[in-house]
Amino acid sequence: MLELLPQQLVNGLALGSTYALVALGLTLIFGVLLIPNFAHGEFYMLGAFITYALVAAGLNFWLAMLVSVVCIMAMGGLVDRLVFRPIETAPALSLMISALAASIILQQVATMIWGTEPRTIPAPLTGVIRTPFFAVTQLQLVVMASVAAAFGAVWLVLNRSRLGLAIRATAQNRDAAMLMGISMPQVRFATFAMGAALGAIAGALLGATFPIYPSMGVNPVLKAFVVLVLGGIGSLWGAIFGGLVLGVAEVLVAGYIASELQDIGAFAILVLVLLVRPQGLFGRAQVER
Amino acid sequence: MIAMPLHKSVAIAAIAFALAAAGTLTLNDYFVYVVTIGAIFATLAVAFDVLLGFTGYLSLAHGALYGLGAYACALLTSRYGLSFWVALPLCGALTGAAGALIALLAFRTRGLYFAVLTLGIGLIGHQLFLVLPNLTGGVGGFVGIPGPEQPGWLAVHATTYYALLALTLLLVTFVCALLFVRSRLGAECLAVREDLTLAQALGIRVASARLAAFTFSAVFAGLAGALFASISSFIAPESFTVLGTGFQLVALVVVGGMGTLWGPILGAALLTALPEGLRVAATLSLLAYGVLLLIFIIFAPQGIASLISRAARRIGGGGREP
Amino acid sequence: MSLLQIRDIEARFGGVVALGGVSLDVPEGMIFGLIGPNGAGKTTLINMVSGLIAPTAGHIVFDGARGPWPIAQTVRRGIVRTFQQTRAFLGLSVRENLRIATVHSPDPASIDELIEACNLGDVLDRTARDLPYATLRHLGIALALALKPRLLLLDEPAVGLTVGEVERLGALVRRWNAAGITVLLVEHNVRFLMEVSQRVAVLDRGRLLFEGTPEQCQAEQKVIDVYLGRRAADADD
Repeated sequence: MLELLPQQLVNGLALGSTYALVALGLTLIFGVLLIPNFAHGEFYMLGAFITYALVAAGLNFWLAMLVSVVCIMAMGGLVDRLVFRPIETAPALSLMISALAASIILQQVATMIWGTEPRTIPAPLTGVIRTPFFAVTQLQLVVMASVAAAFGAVWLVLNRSRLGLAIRATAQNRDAAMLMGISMPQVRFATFAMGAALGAIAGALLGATFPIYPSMGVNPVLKAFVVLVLGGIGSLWGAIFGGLVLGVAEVLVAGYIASELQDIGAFAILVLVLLVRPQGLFGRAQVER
Repeated sequence: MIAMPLHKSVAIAAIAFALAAAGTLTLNDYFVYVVTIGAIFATLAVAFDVLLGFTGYLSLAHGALYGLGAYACALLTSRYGLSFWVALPLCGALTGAAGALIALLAFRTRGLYFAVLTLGIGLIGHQLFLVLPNLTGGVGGFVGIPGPEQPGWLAVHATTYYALLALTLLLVTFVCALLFVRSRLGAECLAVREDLTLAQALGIRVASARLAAFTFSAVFAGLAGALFASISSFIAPESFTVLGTGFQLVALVVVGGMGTLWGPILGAALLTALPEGLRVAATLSLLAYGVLLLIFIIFAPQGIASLISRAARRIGGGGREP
Repeated sequence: MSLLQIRDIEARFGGVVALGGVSLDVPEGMIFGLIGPNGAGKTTLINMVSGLIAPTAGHIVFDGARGPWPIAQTVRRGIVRTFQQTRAFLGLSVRENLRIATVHSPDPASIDELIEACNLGDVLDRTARDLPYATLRHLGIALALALKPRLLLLDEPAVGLTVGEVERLGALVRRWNAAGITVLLVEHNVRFLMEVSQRVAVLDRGRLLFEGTPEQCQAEQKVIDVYLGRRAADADD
């Protein structure tokens, strides 16, 4: 069993990378705007489906993915405008409920268009690289590289641009940021667009490995919440770290205990972490709104 | 909001029950079935509202608790040969205990984390229904659950009998919920919903109040699940998903009116009867749920109930509210 | 013996010392005023006496028993507080607010008494959220009085009130005090505090600067230096 460990770790890191990518978008939106965007899983799902539709129409995979990401960015802004902006000042409970509603609506729309049958996107890369200890597919490498690139891009935007400064200011203190003349619609749009883009990239890449279907976003978004809890809400490093830990943990549970327990294991980690640290593993105690 | 005297509320509920019961005797089988399902969902919604509307906590674990009640009833009646009437209270006690346990865990967190934690528990529950085929029948479902025994003197068709049972459970749940929210515990739950810190500062036993609300809602969700299993004779995990059942409950309660007890019944009646009555596809009805939920949470977060009472006040010349 | 004795209470948050060992005695039946500039540690002190936060060091003695206790137990022993940003159950009517505050207590004040004591008779069926600011403040205090406290901690009750409203508040505080409730009053409004209180303490940067009668306090040069000199102008506007 033990000789499989390096392979399990590689698979775990590849899986964890996609969790990290989904979690990165979720943590951005939650950290900056305090919106628990359950519909993030649907950004991920639609990212996969639009890529699928464009590839089916004959477009090159990478071009299709790019178009899909742009579409989902626009949709992220739209979802914010229609679903969250109207109840900006409402209690957190209302935000959660409207996020749930948005999530269901997008899922059902996708079901009406594509049906519930799982579909697959033809993989753009099929090569496998073998080493003495483990094998890794080219696609897994691309996934891991994309996570690194996306993380780098988000970090650059946040830390090296005027917009990023505005976003960080908003995350610290929304009222003060507004008093300083920061345009809230702009910050909101940018945050949602960036978050949605991260979800869409993850969806398109995973769609090239696994079957896609309208409710495929539910588990990843929940796991992204697990990652947030592990890594601390609003922390980019935490999202990456938490995602990788969760991916490895899941693969190990599936490999060494029982594969049916993979999902239960992930949720059990969520429950355990929340019980030990009700505000998250690395999270600061949240100020009640 | 002026609360109606207790006996008056109970009387109105009893009259509504009698009318609905009399109505089912005249309907054809299909609509009797719609009434039955509507009443079961209304029961769930009333129980759920004690937690969501009166205590202010969004739980996504209730789809699984409903399922727990259903599977427990299926096992007790078909495998252990218990009578439905013996199994029913046992199912309520079991889900109540499970609910209390979940509550003890989940109330260590608050706000978003509470919703996420209960979502996780709801998903674990659903997964367990899938991966324990010896107990639940797995993906294929649990087949051949005996129906509730019908007393000889009640000479009605079985489907009508089931509808009457569902309506009776709804009435019982409504009256119990009414007693609960009017009690000291109910007042303390309202305090928790409105302002947790102030409630603590006033010495209110916050922990026991919200534990009671969660347990209450779990018991009645379990009873509803047990009845559902028994009258359906077949249950499968897909009836107890987080985003199916768990989400529908949120929609019923919010659209009907959080924090009132008749609002959720209204919401359940509208949202289960309409799609069934119009015979639209499940996808379309879930989509409609989502759209309605979004519209209501944005434009009328207090639901249909508040729209109606506001309209009634306006028609009444505004003189009824001193 | 004093009803409340505060002994060497210390509060550190990380490296910041909010209270550096404060001792005070609040005699039974008194209105005791506590003033100090922003950041002096007044609210921190109230939070610790009421059990909301545990002190890093020091203790209190209330009615002969040594505390502090967790908040629920503190309330049961007869110490009840109000909040700086007035808190009431905003989505509920005034009547429901009062019912909630009285329903769980073994020996609550009568609702009629509270309505009378806080002038809430005309607004009973209004939702708390729609109340005028000053009335909401009265409601917040009524919720605390519902528990028949022996010691009432008022955290800046006069903030944001007009001159007339402050006068009415002062009259109410005196009335409750006359009914046997000891009051520890934290206040920014110096004039109000000096008028109402029988004894005054001044906190500055987490330390007790002065304690005495209002008259002594107003004459004390070091108090004037750190506080009154700066605040006197604001208090008049």
